[in-house]
Amino acid sequence: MGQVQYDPSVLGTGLEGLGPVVAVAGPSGAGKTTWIAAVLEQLAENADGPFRLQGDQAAIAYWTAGAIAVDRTLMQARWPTVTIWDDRHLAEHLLAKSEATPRTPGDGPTVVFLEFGFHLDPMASLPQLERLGGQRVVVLPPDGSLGPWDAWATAQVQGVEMPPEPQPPELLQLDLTGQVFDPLSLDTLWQELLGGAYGTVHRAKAVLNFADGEMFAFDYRRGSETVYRELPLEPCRVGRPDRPSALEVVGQGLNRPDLRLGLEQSALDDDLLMAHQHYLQTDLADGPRGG
Amino acid sequence: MKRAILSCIHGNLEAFDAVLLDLERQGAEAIHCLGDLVGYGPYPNEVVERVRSLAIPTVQGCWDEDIVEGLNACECSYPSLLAERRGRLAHRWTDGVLTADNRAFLAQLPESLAVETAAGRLVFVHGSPSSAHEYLLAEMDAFMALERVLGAGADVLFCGHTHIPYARSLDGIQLRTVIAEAPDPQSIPGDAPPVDHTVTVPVRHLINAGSVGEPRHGRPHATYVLFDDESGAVELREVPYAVDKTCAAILERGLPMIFAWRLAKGLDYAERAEDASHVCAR
Repeated sequence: MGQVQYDPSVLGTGLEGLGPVVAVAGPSGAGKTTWIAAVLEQLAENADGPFRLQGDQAAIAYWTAGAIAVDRTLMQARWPTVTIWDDRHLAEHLLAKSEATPRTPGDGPTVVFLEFGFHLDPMASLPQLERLGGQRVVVLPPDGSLGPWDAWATAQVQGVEMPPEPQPPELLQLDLTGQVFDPLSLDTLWQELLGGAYGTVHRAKAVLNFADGEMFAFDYRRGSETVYRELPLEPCRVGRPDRPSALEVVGQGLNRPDLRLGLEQSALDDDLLMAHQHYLQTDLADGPRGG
Repeated sequence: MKRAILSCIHGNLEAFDAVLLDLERQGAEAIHCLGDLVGYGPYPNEVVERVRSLAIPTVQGCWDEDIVEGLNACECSYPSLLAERRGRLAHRWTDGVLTADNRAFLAQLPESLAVETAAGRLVFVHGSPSSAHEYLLAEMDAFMALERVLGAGADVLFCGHTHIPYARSLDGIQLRTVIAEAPDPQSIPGDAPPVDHTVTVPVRHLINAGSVGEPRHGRPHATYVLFDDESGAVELREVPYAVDKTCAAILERGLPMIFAWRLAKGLDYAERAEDASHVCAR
């Protein structure tokens, strides 16, 4: 995933020195989530270490802003033992504390990763983060400047090379939980989206449910091809899936109403979904047919 | 005589007028229209009225038929759920604005037209001689293509519906039949040899006029065909026009924004034929 690597020396500490809070910020598409995933990969390799990613108790928590967040779903799918926090969890378990979270195993998460979207002002969080302790990492493209993160960051990581953005980007988020899509329709709509039909797109990512029950992640950065991958989740072949599903687009001149209409037109209604799931159940029950 | 054959105008008056100007400049003496006057585009009534005022011989297209009889497309029309829903939306819009007079005109259009010329018998259809909804793609099997042409009794078969123009010569085709004749009761079994007969089919032509109003060849320019019925020469014409005016009209008249975007890109609005081997179920 990209060119981001976890280098412990960047944080001035090894894995054991991580946390209690690792705040990550940077421009859209620079590789913040990728860097966090790389750190989690390193922690997973150290199964006997203090963070016990493979254990019963979740020692790691992850938060990113907003009610709709593709990255939360991706993290949950890839790391089932990581506790996923929404804004409420963040407020209750972290921001309300005046001291650093105790680093005692068994007493809440040992390390909390906080991913700040490009649209959030990092300085607004600085006083609380300083009280909580830990690291504040900014992920920047190779030719990027610290800019608004200069006074905020304690460490800098080189991220993914990105084309320059002429104007401050907009963020469009759509909650698609419960929607089930026709693959051919979604393919057409995705090509329209990247082709500029709904505005200029710099970054687009989504986690979507499809008619055969699987869930796929879509990841697009301007100048690159979309990366598609099936998520390691149990297929949902009865009723509508209740796992979070969403689309996030970063760009300019984004046309929410028409994009939402296109998504609605690409989704199966109740009757179609029921008929398709009945067909799937029948097909699965019949088993493979011989030639 | 130089003849202009156009198809699939789809309510795109700007494109239609540009083609009419071009064919006049090219010296066309007759015009034939292969249908789909309406559908998706913002000016269905105006296009029908232009065709009527010029008395252009026209066959009924699939959209013309669906507007008159109700939507009844085969599965070959829509490649996806999204395409089907967009198509139905366009049908409802067109159905809502078309005048009764123009609807009556579409209802009386014939399924095919024919004319005898020095180049042979020219037959004009929308999709295929079998159905206005059947696609005759450029890459379809040669024998199937020949069957469609011969079945229409044509030396040259003109079709539309695919929105991508082509000119295809079906030449050098031989048909061989081997018939094992029933033996004479009086003769010795195995005595009668099979009848082996080979026929070389004279060259036939299958020509697709593309689309005036909804081109799908990746450019927004209108396409049509010029045919010289004395020399047999075929010219595929591509005509630029003020696409932005049609796009603006699409938005002004309440049609989906995505139709304007796809038109400007030379993409299909919704329908697209993908399988050259598919036989229309209608």
